[in-house]
Amino acid sequence: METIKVKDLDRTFKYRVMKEPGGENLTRCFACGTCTASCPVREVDEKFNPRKIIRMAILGMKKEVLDHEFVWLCSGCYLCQERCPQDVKITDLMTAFRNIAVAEGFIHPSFVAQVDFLYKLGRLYEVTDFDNKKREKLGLPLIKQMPEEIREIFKQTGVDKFVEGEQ
Amino acid sequence: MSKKIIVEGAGIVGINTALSLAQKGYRVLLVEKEPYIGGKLSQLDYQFPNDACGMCQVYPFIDSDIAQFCLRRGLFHPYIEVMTNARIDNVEEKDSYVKVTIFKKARGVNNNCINCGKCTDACPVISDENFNYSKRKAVYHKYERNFPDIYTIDFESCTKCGACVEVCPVSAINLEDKDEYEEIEAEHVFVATGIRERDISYLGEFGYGKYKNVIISTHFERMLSGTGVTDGIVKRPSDSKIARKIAFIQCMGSRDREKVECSSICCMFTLKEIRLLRKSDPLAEPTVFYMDMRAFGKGEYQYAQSTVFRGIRARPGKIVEDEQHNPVISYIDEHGNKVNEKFDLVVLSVGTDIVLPQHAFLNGVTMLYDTPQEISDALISAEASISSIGIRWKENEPANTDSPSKEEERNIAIVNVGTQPFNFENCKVLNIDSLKTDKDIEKLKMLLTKNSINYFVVIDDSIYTTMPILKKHWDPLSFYVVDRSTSSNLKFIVSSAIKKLKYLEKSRGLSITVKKTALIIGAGISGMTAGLVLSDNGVDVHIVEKTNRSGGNALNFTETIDGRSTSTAIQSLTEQVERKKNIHIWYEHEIEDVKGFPGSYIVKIKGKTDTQRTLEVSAVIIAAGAVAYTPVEYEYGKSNRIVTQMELEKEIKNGIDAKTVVMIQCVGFRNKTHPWCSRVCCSDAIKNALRLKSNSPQTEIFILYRDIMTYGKLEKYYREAREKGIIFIRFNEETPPSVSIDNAKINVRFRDNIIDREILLNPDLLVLSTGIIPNPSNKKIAKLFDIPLDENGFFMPANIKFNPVETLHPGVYLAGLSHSPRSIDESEKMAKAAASKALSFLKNRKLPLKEWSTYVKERKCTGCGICVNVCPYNARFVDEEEKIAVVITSLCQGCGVCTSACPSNATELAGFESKAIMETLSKI
Repeated sequence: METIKVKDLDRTFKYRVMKEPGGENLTRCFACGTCTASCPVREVDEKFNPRKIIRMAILGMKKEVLDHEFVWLCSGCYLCQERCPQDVKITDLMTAFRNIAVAEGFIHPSFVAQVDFLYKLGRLYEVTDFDNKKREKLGLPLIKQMPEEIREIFKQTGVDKFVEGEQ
Repeated sequence: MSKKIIVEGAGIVGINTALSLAQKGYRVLLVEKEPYIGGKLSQLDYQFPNDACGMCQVYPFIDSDIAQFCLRRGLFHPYIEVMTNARIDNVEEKDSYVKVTIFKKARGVNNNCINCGKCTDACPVISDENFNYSKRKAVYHKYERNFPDIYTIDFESCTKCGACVEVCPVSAINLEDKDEYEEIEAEHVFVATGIRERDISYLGEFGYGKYKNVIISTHFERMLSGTGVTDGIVKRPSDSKIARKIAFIQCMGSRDREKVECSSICCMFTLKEIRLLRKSDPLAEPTVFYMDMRAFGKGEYQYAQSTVFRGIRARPGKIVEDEQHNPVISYIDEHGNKVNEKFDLVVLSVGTDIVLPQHAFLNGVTMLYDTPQEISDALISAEASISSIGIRWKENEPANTDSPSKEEERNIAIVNVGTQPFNFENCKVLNIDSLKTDKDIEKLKMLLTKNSINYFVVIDDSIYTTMPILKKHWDPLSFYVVDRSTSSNLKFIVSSAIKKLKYLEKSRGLSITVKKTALIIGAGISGMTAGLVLSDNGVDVHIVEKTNRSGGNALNFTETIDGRSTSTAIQSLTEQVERKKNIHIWYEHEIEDVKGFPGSYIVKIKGKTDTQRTLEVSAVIIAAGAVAYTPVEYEYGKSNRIVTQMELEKEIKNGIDAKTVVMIQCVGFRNKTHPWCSRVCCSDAIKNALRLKSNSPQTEIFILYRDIMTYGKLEKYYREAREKGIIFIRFNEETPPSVSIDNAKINVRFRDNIIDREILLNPDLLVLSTGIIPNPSNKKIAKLFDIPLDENGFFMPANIKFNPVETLHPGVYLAGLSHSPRSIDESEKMAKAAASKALSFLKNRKLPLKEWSTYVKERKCTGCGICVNVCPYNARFVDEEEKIAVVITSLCQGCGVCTSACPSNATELAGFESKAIMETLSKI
């Protein structure tokens, strides 16, 4: 891999992460590897290595941290956070990374798809006639697609800029 | 009589402190909560960094005649009373003393106990114990020949069934024994209550307490011990199979969120375990999981380098157990590979806390140490703590022995101790029940006088206790003690002993008058600190300083890591020293020549413009310091932006204009040329980095390191540095960073193993953390005083573990960087310790003659000097006028090499004279 040069490193990045809820103890990490050794996601996906992500963040490799799918892979089981000897709140830290990523315009395609669904349908899946017929039989009220309120929320929070074709 | 000083805790530090105080003329009560003395150390057979024990050497050198035994197992000094199975319950502050309430736990066994062990055999109760991590009976003792050498009843598990009472042949057991309280008015209390392993139940993922084959390090040490329950073989607790593939996991319960500090001993402890393990089982496969290998003390880097193990730089995530009870460790290696590995046994290297009693911070109570540390550091800290209470010059020395005069006819008898009969044809046998109390001694004295006996052979079961008691009352050369339990042919041994007593001669030697004067080499922080302690106790002090100012190496620094100004410290010390009438500093003077021997040195010093002067001194403290290494590595000298840590420190207060700073650790050290860790450079780098960061928070600082040596309380600064955003990246010795200068631009290229990428930085400032090398004058000083240097050129103490400030020469002590690299705080402590030891030495008006030393039969001696050449201790010289060899008794160790080398049989080893030995052997 290519040599990392000073200009590739954003020295303000780690402080930005530390201001984010969950990111406070980022730089306490002394790279012992307890987190990665504990991680169930690492068992199934070699790419996922919390220790490496933390080191990259400390070094200031902002683009690599944010523009990469691994911050989105965390399943949120909290094993790493529970075991970390230096109290780096690793699970919360992943959320912090995601928040910064979103704010910076980096977002994982699977999350874009979800946002699309929400925008179009007001929920994460499409309600079809099949569902409503079933509900009718069971005596439950029918569901209507009501994306208007969601759209309003998207507009107010700025999430609408991630909806495909809306920018 | 003046009040006693109480020392709480009879571990290594407590024992050593009690002995030091007793030597200084104080009466000491040594209180131990366990039934036996020895503390943590009694569980440990060997010590790093020499894989030896040598605790016997804690005994004061010049009184070494009483030091015939292991100190873990016995402690005898006329000024020390030992109270075991007792603890301090309450301390009340008074104006000039403390009122101490001592809780004395019922022991259930009295001094009549003869250690036969029948009670233990009869006892039906079995309970858990944490000495061998095994089981024990309710009436027990710790191991063979412990002190006091009587059994103990654990009343918490005892059912009072009475089985032991029935079998005891000497009625030593009292099941109705009651706990007692005793109030004592003490002058002072010194606390050495030791360390305690941390409770690691919060580390559930490691399975301690859940999986049988996950144990802690002390348990492992007991397995390796010959006196342990597995006879030195490492067996799995689950199935008693031999364990080969063994994992050690470091930093369990320290350097984590429950305890920030590093326990500072566990890394070396693990290395020692591995060496012992490999010795006991060459096929063993040890693996160590660690983050930093903290081998920072004297000789420790070389120890670590020569220890063979597989090291993995990681802290595991969890341990699970498979069906065969094999622990399986999940870890990630430095390159990010996830591994689940099966082991036979896992040893958790558990961190420690010091035990802090409730009364620790009252007036009149002093803690002897404030953090868990390795034995020599703990001893230095303790000795420094007692340096403030000074010495009692006038207190009488222990009573002398009344030895029979030499011309007397030798009437020899056998003293048979105990109930077992002993008959002997050609010699009178005196029977006595025991030899433990003053009453018994009086009885023996009467018996001997009645039968006009002046030499005797004692047959006893517990010679470790008997011998020192007898030595207090009789000349050691007038009796001989035979161990009944270990002598298979008792009659033969006794008859040999009789022969020996009949023919041995009394030793004689030079007696030296000690004066209250001391020489200190070097006016650095160490030299001045030691000088003040000596001066305060009325000792005349000469400090010889090579340069024209005081302060030594501390002049190169502005403040310590905890923010203490070094210039203020130097100034205050210098002012104090210069005000003292009994301290003379000889600036710009060097030592030219030294004559004499321990206790009486004649030192010639010479100044630049001065004529030679002669100083007569009895004690010497070597505090000659060391020097900073000037690097040849990393383009040093080729750019003014490449500096050493010391050069940076001087400039920091003027402000450093740098956007990016890179620091490289271990420059020129921990390699083949300088195979030691300088101990202070990591904390120095962190100190300077923190100050740079606080002056300009936008400065980006990288510290490239091999192992961060922030041992003990220093760990909090390492954490603080990380919290402040200082970036730490590790490199291996084999792949150091590469530095080049390219058009005034500095390129630092290195590999970060965690992200597996190469990084190229262009720092505005490159700081090299260089270490400490020995003072070039060490060689000269070593030769003048005949003190050995270690292989690296620092001074060698008498025993690296147990006598860190003493040298092999009584009266010559080491302080500060002369001994090994250390911080300013540590140097101050060591200086106080050295001064304290020197005071104890100076209390001896005359150096006592040794029992086991050689002497010269003047009429036979031709003055050929062969004995002088063969003596390994330089304890002999030839008196050129008289043409005879002279023995310096204080140096003679009684090895006897000279006796076999002497061509004219003119030299003899007292107690082992040729005639006595030949007669002893004549029966074979």
